Amino acid sequence: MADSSPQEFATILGPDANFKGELFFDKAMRVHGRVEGKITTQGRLHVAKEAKISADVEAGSIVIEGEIKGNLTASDKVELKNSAKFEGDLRAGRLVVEEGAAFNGHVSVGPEAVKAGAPRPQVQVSVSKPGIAAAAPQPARVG
Amino acid sequence: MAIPLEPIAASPGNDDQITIVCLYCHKPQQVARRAVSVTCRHCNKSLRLEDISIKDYHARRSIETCGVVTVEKKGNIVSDRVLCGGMIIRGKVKGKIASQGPILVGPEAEIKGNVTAPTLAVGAGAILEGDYEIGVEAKPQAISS
Repeated sequence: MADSSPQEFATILGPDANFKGELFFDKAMRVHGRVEGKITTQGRLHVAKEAKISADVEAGSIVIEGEIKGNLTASDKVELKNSAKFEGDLRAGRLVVEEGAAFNGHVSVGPEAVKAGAPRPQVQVSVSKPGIAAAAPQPARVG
Repeated sequence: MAIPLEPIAASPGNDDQITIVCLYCHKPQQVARRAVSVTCRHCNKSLRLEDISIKDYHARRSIETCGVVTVEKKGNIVSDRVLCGGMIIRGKVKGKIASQGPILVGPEAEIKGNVTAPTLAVGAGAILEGDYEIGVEAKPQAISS
């Protein structure tokens, strides 16, 4: 477990707590239980060893010791401790991975990644010929 | 970062031999410690065993060794694939990386490409872009050419 004292975290979700939905907070939160949904904060999120999170997270910084599934966006830093298990896409200004952490997904780390902010660029198809562009899907004609 | 990097393990009881894992068929075998390259007993592919240090710009189709590839601060690899026993990156790498051992990424490093490794250690400040498979479940696999 991290050496940070409980006073550091204004909000703590206990190990027997199970949360479903969208979670907003300002400063810092430590999760020991289960969360499903979405977490948004400008502060700090600490995912304790026994925690299991299945959510998209947007935060200032994220420290992961437990399990997390979902897309992470951190304006500052993501830390994956040696017990961390993470599955999903990650976008952060800085990344610290301890040896032993397991993760699987797309990673964008660096100042540029945070500036971009938006999710991964999707493939865009643009049609330049006006004749083809106008050809919207037509209903099937019979007869 | 002081993480021991021992992709090539010494076999117990015999100092002249070491155990390596083939980059292609992933089967272990014993080879002479002083060997620079061998042919895999199982798949007959040629295996380079020596460590590689990259200190400047290297554009190659592939870099393959059972040893450790070290990219120094001024090193820059542009390659389709890097297959190695371990990797230390302080400079830049562009291309797919499949490592059988730990990958250590320095704080000023830059990696663009997909990475597969059993463990990864990243210093704060590194720039990464790509799909990552790190951990016990992620088996380092030879990338088909």
